[in-house]
Amino acid sequence: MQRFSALYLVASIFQMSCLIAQTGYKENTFEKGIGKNHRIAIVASRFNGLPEQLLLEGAMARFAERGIEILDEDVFSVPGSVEIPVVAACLAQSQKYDAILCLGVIIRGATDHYDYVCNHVTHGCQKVAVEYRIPVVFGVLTTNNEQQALDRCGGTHGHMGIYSADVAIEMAGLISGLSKGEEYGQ
Amino acid sequence: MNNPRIAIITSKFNTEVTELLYEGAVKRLEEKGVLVAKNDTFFVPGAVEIPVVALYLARSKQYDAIITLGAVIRGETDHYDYVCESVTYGCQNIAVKYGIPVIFGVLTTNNEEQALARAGGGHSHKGVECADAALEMIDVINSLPRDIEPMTKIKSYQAQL
Repeated sequence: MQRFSALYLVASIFQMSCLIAQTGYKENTFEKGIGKNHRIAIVASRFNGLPEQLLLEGAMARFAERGIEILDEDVFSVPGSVEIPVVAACLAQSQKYDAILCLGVIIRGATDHYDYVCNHVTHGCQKVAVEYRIPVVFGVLTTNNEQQALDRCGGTHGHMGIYSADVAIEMAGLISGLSKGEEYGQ
Repeated sequence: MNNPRIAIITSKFNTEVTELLYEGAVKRLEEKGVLVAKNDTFFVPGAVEIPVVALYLARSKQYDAIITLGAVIRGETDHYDYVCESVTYGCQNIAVKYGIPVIFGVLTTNNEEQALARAGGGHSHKGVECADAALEMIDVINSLPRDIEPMTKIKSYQAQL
């Protein structure tokens, strides 16, 4: 049994190295892959005011902390979360960015509108990511009330802005280490 | 902003609500100095039919934004859920594919009262909100870097091979 599992381990390591050789995957995925010259765009909605402002401030502070410069012209403000994906799509088309960070807050109201807005955004962002092969980081809070939203932007439940800024940096490093194109069948 | 061209697609199911939405949107656009021509407004039987019309309008490249208006009200069955889902997915796909803002002004409510309240009856007015959102989104989209069209991007990938 042990021999089998050892064999399996060797086989899977071999498979992995083949995969790495095929995709042109650079040796590092974590800290070493993260350069300071990644260009990251932020798309932020402002339908819910305060929590969204906190998310944006948190993300900007985190980028500054980690030495990544975000220019004013790389921050795009949209009226509501539904409008995030279309802007993300245009930014992805421009090929000027290594990652797109989406920030927003959706809070449940009296109707089911909440569910469909959430569907809208998740589906749209994922479609942009997959079609244009760019990390679209989903920093959109979907909560039952405003308190839950505030808890998640610097309150008792962490800070989605900071967390998603870290994710964007990591993903920008990871994806730019992969060779884009052929292996996905274009 | 020089003369943005906006199309409005309105569903006729639950007319008493969607009429209010339509009137609110048109009035708001007029207030902001944007006239919507008669042949830029389209009426469809129900909310499910909105995305296919939006698709043709997006492909025509004649518009800067598309406003979709409708009211889906819950009935006894799950039909409501599937109608809502089909509209949201359809609209979002078009927006992402063609890079045109498709403003989602479709109310999804549990009863008619809630719908009327959100069409200018006290709670909010989705038509007005959509008109504002459309105008703002045109500005946002125009400010974006947009040198590469989706098709040319795919060609450039092919050229790399």
